[in-house]
Amino acid sequence: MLRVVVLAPVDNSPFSRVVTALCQAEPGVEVAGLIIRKILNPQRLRAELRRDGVRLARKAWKKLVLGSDDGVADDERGLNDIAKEVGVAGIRLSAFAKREGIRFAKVGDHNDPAALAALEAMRPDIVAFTGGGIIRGSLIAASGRGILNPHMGVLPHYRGMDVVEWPILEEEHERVGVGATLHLMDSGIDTGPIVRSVRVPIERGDSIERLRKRFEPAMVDLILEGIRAARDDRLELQPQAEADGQQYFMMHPRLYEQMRHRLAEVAGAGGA
Amino acid sequence: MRSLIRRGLGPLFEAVVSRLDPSVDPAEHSRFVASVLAEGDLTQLGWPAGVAPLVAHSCASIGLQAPTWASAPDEGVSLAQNGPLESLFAPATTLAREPLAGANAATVLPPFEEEPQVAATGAEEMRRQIWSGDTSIDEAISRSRSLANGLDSKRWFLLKRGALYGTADLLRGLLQLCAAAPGDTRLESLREYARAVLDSAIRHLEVRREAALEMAQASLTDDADTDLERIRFSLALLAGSVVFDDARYLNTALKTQDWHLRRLQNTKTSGRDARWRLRFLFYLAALAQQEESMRRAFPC
Repeated sequence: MLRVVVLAPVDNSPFSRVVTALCQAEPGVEVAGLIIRKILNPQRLRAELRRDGVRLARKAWKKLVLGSDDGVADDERGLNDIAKEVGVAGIRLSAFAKREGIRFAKVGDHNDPAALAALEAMRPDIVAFTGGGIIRGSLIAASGRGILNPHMGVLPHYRGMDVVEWPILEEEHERVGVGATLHLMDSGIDTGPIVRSVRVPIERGDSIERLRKRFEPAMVDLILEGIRAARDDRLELQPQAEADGQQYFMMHPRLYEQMRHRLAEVAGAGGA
Repeated sequence: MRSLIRRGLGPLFEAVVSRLDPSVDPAEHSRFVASVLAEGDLTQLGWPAGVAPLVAHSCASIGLQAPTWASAPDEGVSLAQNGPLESLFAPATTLAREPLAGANAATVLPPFEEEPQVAATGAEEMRRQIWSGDTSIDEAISRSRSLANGLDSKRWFLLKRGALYGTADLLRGLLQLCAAAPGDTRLESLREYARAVLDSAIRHLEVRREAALEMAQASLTDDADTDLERIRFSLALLAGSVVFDDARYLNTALKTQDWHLRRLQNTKTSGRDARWRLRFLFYLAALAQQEESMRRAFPC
């Protein structure tokens, strides 16, 4: 039995809920615990406010008010649809854990000593990361075979943030592609060994919101494939060299606008 | 229920967020740039009307030729039409092939960390010489190598200590050299060096954001000096985005420009303060350079 611990960004994260439920239903896999970040952590809020400014308000609006039901691309199958399919719609992660008898801990931050203590007590064979910031080395060292991180970009080329958008802006969507990569975390930003990757093609008429929504089931499949591979002892790791890729950061609104124009051209011409 | 909230309160929420921070709205951001650069509305920067002669005086005080709009009697003159401030900071398109008589190519400057003031002066002088075309490629390479050898690329931006004052001019000089002699193979290692420094600059700026680029030297803590150096780094990032055709540098430069503007607008000082005028001048130059970099990256 493979013991999996899930790291979750917040208690109402639909991605964490879906991944936890699907892992729980997977033969030969046991969810040994959940480590959930508390929503209100003054230190983290201060850091995020400094980093994101009023964008934090937008993020909070989306996460806490709208959930993943943000009204875009309703015809695409997203996390809410998957949550309904697996019977975890509208339930908090902690409530789900109580219902299923899964051990869980609520922490201020994943790098807190409390999170490390909880993880050590849960004795994981592997950890599934479903969001919650940058993870430090001590947690990685206590994670058994490692921390599986589904990254919304094609590694090793696109590390960091907004990496669905960057290949479109740089017109690399055909050569490098747009897609997601499952990798094991190391001390760098998205520099750990690659487990597998998947392309998410741009389709005719795509907007960035629609394209991003198509990532949601792809990310779920990717992390489950990784768990299954770990369970079956067939995790094949492809190391990355630091020089193989570059780190990207949050895109400025004016570049984001340019990216939207480019995506409209590509999607108008039939996608890529 | 959520759909009701989205439709009912969503537009109101968006309007409040855009009002709080106009930089998050690309249309608002472009309108601001157009009103300052094309329409000459300097009051957008918190600068009172009728101050063009002061800009001209600022230019003269640092030995730069004033832009046409600053010396023009008509306040309504468009900056874009009359040659924006970028002309003050543009690199020379060609460098002299032979060393000038009397120039000393063998001068070895001390490393930044040991003699920051001397090295900073050397970097600025080097940049001006490359910019004005008063030096040969050989000399420029030799001087640049000498300065770069004194500062490992990994030591430029130290998260806790900030940055070394004067290094922005070294970086700008290197980039001007790369732009002026793009095919010169002797520049290969300097290109790699400049790129490594730019990469660590964007990491530093994106992590530290408005608290970035504090000057490491205790003796250089004057706000105006620090602000000018920050804007020089913006100019370097913008030059880097053009030289290496890399939108990541432009991305971080756009953000740092937003922070400069906020700082400039929040500075309570007299328009007659010479350092404030310099900050204003540098910001305008960087704004013009920013738009030029945007045009090059996205021509349509």
